[in-house]
Amino acid sequence: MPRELTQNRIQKIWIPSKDGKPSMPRTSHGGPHLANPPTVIVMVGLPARGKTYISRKLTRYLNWIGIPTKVFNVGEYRREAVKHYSTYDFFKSDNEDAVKIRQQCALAALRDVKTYLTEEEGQVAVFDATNTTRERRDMILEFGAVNGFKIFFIESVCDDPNVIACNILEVKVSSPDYQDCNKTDAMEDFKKRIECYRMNYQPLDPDQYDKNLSFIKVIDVGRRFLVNRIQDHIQSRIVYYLMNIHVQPRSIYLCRHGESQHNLQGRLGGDSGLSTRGRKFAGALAKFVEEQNLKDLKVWTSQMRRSIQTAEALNVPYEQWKALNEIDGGVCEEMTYEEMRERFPDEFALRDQDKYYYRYPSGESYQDLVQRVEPVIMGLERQENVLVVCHQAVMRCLLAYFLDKSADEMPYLKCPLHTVLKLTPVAYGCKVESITLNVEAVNTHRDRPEEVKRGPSTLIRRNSVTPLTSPEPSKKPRIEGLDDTIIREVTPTQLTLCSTSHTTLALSTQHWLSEACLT
Amino acid sequence: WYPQRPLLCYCANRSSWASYMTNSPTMIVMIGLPARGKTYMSKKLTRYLNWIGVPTKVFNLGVYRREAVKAYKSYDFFRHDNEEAMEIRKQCALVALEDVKTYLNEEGGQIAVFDATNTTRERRDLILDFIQENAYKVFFVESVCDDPEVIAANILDVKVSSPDYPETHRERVMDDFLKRIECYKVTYQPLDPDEYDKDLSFIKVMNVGRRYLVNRVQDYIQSKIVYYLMNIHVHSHSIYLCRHGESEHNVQGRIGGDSELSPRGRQFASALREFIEEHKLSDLKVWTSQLRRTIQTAEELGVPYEQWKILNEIDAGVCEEMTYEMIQNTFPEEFALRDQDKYHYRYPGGESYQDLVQRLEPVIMELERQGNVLVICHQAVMRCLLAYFLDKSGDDLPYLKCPLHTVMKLTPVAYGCKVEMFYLNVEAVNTHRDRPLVSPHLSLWCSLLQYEILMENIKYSF
Repeated sequence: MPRELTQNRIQKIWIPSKDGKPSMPRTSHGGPHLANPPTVIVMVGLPARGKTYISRKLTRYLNWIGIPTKVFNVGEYRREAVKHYSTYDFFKSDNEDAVKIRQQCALAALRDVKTYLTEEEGQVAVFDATNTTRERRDMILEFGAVNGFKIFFIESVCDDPNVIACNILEVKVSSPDYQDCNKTDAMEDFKKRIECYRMNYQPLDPDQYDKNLSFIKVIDVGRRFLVNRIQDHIQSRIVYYLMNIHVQPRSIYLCRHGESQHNLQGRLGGDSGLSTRGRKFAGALAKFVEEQNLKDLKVWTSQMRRSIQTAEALNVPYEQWKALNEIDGGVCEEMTYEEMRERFPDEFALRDQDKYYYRYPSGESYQDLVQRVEPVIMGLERQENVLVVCHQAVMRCLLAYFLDKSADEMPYLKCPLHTVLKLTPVAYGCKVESITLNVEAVNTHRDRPEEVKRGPSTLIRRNSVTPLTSPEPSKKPRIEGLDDTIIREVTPTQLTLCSTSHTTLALSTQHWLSEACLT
Repeated sequence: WYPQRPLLCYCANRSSWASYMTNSPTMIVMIGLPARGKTYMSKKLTRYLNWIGVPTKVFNLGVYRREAVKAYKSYDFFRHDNEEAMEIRKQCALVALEDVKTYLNEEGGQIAVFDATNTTRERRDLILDFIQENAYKVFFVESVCDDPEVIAANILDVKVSSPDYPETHRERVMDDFLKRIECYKVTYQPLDPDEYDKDLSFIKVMNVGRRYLVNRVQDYIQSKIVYYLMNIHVHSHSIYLCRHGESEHNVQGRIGGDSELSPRGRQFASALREFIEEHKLSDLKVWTSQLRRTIQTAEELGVPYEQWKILNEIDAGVCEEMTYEMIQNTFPEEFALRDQDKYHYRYPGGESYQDLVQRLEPVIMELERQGNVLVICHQAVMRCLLAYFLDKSGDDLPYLKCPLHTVMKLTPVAYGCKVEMFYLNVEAVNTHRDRPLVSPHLSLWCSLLQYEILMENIKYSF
């Protein structure tokens, strides 16, 4: 007898039920998007080869597409164990005490990996360390075999002294290890540190010793890749992602279309044209773009009239992407929030309960949006300077990817009209600058309601695409002062600048706003 | 939405290329000894690229050679000291390159796949000169394989039945072909990533995908090509495509919506379960959409299944849940437009087949990775998937026959796909609408004019 189906009220997903109550869906473990069994990604490479950069970026991407991923950086563990770093001598291979400590740190980190993957519903763990010897890698392979984890190696190989010097300046000189040093000394010490590792470095050998392992060798910052024995979907996605990212300096500009007729009326969705103020914004945007003086700016829009009209004012070629269209409000399209509250009071309440998963009847959810928008992210990673003219919900999705925001925060990120967000990759993260173009507009933002009654969770997460913020690097008891240095790339300054109303900023001065301001 | 421009520009826009993919035509150059899967990859890649909307064509040098030299005698033709033959082969290459140029410059082609051994630096340098003259991009795909079993299997699979060996004994064919390969081996210069070829863009596929070396990917389309090549495999497997059982809406002649199965639909679901049991498929994965009718069908099978939102039926926008008569009465111009270009036509507030293809691409990629899969989906979706496997154009795609209660079994064979249709003997309504009998060109022209006028009017009515 076929089981009856009921539709989950928030996600609008049909699942089998018993007596009107949802029973566990008979779906196989792990949807096509999830890796099963858990995977440990093992970074390999000399210091300053971009291992942590890749670890963190990859983790951010995997979490955004809904695969719970976490980085385990052995350097962090070492800094916990050895309170004060003095010189590169610590890393000499004949420094027996130090070797012992380092080994223990690696083991501690692996223990945490195991906990994360077996008890905390983690799906992928990124083991970020040099892992330059066969001995260390064999230990990890054994660990994987014993626990039933898949192992995938990512080795970064680079011999260009310019690249390495650049890396050291960007992220090592400001690391906690060198807080009492000046730049030159730090650089010198670090270079000697690298030499310590180089002596014992055994790169992955695809022809003999390591020919049965699954790995990708990234050579010269992505100029070349050697890919060996990809086992499954998640590994092939990882390889595809790694082949699309680059480290050229560039900026991504995100903004919404100019104020539209529907915005003025408080209506959602639809395909209206720009209002007078919206057209004014388009003009201001054109001026802004000119002032930025960028070589080769690509402009992308959705296929909705309001974003195209905005781009038209720029007088440059632009690309239309259907994937950038605003979230489909289904039966609620073109309604105001009041109308929605009157006609569909239950739906209105449900949406506030769980805005990320909530799918409009015959429409979409933020969760659907993430899946829809993923090719845009991949395209953006390949590009250099891009301006994306899109919509509120879509912009929130894109922003959540760049700023590593969870599914919980995403639907409440502040993306006001007539404001351009300039994202510039820096160190391990993304610098955000918010530029208001001085043209008034209505405020379309709805804050998270104060009292949200969250009912028992009937959410289906197995096939779900649920962005999670990359978890804090796991470490032993926290040390004061450690947090500040980790998130050094975002300076939490001038919180007084953050307010819900539009601050008018002259176009020529660009202020830093802390990430916290966007929520 | 297109800005106000004269009609001719509008035409150009419709087929204009997504510049984020690449900004110049690209030549993909295959490299490798015979029987290394070059033609297999060329054809498969071409099929994929055309399906996602990138106009691509294969230029197989063997075909040109067979034109020039009417009857193939023996492997002696391929000896590198056979000067006369070498001259003919070079001429063929030049002719093929001319055709590539015509295709990319004058026929709207975006990618040309040059399928030949291209095993010498001399030949590749010739091609590189050609590329530079014409400002094309070039991407090499080299297939390297030393496993004698794989090579023997390839020869039996596709060479034994090639036009070169019309009626010869299998063993003699194998023998001749292996000697042919030896001719090429003598002068084979593989791509050298460390020195000679380090600035070229290429992928080396080793031992049927066990390992890949990727060098200097230049743009998005090259990265998609690499991704595709890394996901395909040659293990035998079958893909079963079918629609949900007949639904209540089907019975009423309504399109779209989210209705339940009719009694006959439920009967089909049972028949499907028996079908699967009969075929004894090991490790069969079952995929459905997130619409009730496919899930109900899968529920009956009693096995785990996966729901994909992207397998949902085409969104008919304002026409959802209407019958074709209702659409014709309420939106007569839309109804007519759809018949004129069913592939590109987008329902107002809804989707087109072209949108569907883009939406379905991750499904195709995953199907390539998987083994045996049963996909329970919908008419328009099934047409899109079928068009990919059977290499059908955008023109034919919307008219492919995908009747209810019928399972299509697709099995890769040689360079293509074998199709078997299984009608499961449960009656159902017919939801197929044939292509209307209108002259395509005239109707397209008229529809474009109509469309311009219509857009003018619609713009002011929103």
